[in-house]
Amino acid sequence: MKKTILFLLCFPLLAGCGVKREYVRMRDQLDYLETSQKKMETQMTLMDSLLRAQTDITYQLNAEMRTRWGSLNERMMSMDQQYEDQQSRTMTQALPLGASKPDSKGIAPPAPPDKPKDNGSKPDPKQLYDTAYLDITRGNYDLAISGFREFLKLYPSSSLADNSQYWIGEGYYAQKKYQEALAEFQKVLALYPHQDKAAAAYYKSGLCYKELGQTPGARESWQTLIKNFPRSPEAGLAQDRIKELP
Amino acid sequence: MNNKKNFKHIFTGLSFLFLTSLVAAQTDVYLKLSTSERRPIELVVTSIQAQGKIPQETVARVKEIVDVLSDDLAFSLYFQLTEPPDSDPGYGFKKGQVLAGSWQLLGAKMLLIPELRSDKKQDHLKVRIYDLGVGRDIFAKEIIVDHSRGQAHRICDQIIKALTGENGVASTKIAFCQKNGQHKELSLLDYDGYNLQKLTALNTINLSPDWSPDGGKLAFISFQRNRTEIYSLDMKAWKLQAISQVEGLNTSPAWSPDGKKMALTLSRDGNAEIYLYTLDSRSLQRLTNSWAIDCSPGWSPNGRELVFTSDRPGSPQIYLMDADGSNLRRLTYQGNYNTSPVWSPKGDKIAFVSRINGFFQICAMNVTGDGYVQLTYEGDNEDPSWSPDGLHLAFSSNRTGSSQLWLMHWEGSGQKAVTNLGGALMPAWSPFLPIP
Repeated sequence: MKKTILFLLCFPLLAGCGVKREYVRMRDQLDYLETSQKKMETQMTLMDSLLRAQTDITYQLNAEMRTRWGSLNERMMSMDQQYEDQQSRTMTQALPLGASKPDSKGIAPPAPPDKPKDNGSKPDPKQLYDTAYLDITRGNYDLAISGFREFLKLYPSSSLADNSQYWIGEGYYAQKKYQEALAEFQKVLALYPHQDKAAAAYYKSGLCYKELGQTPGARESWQTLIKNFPRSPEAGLAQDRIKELP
Repeated sequence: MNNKKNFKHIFTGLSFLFLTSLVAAQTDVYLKLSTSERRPIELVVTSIQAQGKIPQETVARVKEIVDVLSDDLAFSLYFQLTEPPDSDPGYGFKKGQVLAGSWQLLGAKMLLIPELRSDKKQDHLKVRIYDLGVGRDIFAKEIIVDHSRGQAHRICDQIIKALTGENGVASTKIAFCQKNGQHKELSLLDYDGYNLQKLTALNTINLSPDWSPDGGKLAFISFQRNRTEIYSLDMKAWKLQAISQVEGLNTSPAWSPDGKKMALTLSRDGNAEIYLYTLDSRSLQRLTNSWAIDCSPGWSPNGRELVFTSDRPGSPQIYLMDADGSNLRRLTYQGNYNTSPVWSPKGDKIAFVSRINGFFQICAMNVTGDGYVQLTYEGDNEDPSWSPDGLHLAFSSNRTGSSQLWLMHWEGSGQKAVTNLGGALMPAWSPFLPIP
């Protein structure tokens, strides 16, 4: 009986101890949870910024892929075009004069294009020319020369062909490669003798000769210029230059 | 256990891949800044992070320097500045650490964090550029604050150089003609209109300043002897030297990009023609020869071509020619009055003055003859001059009543007056100047 009373008396105390321990444990757990949550938050912020960075990269990669895919596509189309051109050329050459259709034995000859496909795969001529000229103004002479050469290859009969040929000469002249420059200016005179760059090409040829120490060549270039284009601004300049020759 | 190990390996592998891609991305971001299709970087300049106890006065004075830096960065076109929330100075930081997410919520890609600490005599300002994408500083520079605007300009240029590889214009200057009663004297300003300095006191009319490419000299026209003559002012030795004093007009000096020659307009042979003056040999070579007026030459950045004004078609128009006078071609066909051409240092554009509906306006076009665009619309706007990075233009405008200097970006945006003087005209934006 005494034991029971003692137990009953101690029970709240013991229970109290239990509750307190439970409380301490719960508080610890709460602390732990709180710390974990903070850690999680930090990690979330970090992950968030990493994710954003990753998204950026993905976008950039996508954009790059699209650009590359686009240019690859263009190149493939251009190769297709070249192949078709080649095929049709071979066919035409193989055909005897007057023959209407080859005996194809089931293989159809390439269908004639609806409209000339020439420009389909080529860069825009104005853009190609402008880019090369901008390279001249920026002093990227080698780039400019290859740009103008590309232009001449693709558009040899363009009204800007003589200009392109002139700027190739100028690209060499700016780099003090006078021998190469002279050859290019001479090409302007040989290929486009009556177009707008001719007078300037005569004048520049004379300057190249002078730089190369070939006075007779310089004199002859300038005299021809004065004779052929007497009213050009270059003719006036040439007269001044001839006076300076030894 | 095995599974855990495997997971750990996979995780390590993934983290490695992730980090490598971050490194790759980081290079990409910084390179992207310098491409022609410039996309400005979203930047937030945070509040000053004071290390320890620093008097509010000091913080306020350092804030002025940070504000100059912010203005420079915003004007540069490399950055787009977003304001941090005013209400909470501690926003986005926790125990000194950057909370990236909070800033990214504002749309920021980078932070400029000014950190201030003081010792007994000096205030030290550390400027950090923190990339939120990679979570670390990509630029840091500490200075002892001297409270000069030049200090902020220099940091701006260093940031732009570090992030883009390009030179910034924050430390450049603008020379111009300042009206002083009947006289016009040359003066100098920081590019943002501060720090006015007088350059001449010749008590006459001085016009058309033009910088030598090394920034050491200014060529200009002076009426000292009651006629137009060209002089050069050495700004280190403060020495004046006569360049051209021939009979008739001596105007529009333009220094060649290699500094060895000067294109000039002279009328010694009857009418105004363009000449090439070689400084060493003091020899003159005539480049144009027509009955018309040929004037105001400007150089292409490679020094091989000249742009100039000629009225040979009956009204003034812009022409191009090779720097030896050959290969002449007309550039402008729009309107009947185009003059004062200047070639962009980037090589691609030419800015000029066009008379539109009776007013002078700044226009620009591609050197390839297309892309014509009108840049100004109010009042008369004249004398365009490119910044050395080709991203901005200085010009004079009377839109507010008197002629003042104005700046704008290359496509016409961001127009702002930088002077409020009795009269300011003919700005000449300096080249990149050596840091003193």
